Amino acid sequence: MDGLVISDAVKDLIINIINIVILFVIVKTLAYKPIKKFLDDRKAKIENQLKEANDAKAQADAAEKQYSQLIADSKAKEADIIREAEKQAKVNADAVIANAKKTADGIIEKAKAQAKQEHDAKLAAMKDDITDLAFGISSRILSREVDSKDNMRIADEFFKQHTGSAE
Amino acid sequence: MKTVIITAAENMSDETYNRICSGFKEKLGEDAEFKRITDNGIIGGFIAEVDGEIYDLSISSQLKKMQKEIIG
Repeated sequence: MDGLVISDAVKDLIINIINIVILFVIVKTLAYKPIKKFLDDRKAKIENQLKEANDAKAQADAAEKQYSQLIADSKAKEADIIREAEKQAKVNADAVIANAKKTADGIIEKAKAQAKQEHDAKLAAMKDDITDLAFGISSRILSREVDSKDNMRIADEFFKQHTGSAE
Repeated sequence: MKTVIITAAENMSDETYNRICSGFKEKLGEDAEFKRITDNGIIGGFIAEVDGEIYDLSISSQLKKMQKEIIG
């Protein structure tokens, strides 16, 4: 019998197909699995890195939130400190003003007392001067006006009181 | 005998001086020695000193008293 006659083209095709299948099996065995593994590993690594990045971001967000809270707290404390310092400064200023007023009042009172003292002294001195002047004028006038009748009257009055006799 | 010193201004007459002397004789009840001192500063009246006791009837002392009362 004549056998099946297969053309060279078909033979080539069959051989190619077999080659391809063999190649496919070899590639699948030798390359596909490692490559898939590599790709899976890489994917896992990337996913891991993404997770780490997300965790880091979450930590950063938490730190930022904490930092913001700290800033807010310190600002509130700062405001309290400033308020307290302002209050204390006002108290101190009021005390200084009160003290200065008291000192000024004391100085004014002292000055008033001194002025009155000086005024009284001047008045007393003036009084002395005026009475001295009056005394001097009176003496001069009386020196001219007093006569023997006046002297006699003085003597009579004296002896009337001391002896009961008058002439 | 006691000594009486009479200080008077020039304007005192002898009549008044004698009146003072007789007055003191009567007051003392005995005779006395009299001395006269002239001092126009007393203005008028007289000052008599008898045994350390002073009788100041001078016008100048009256004026000084008034001055002290005015000054206070």
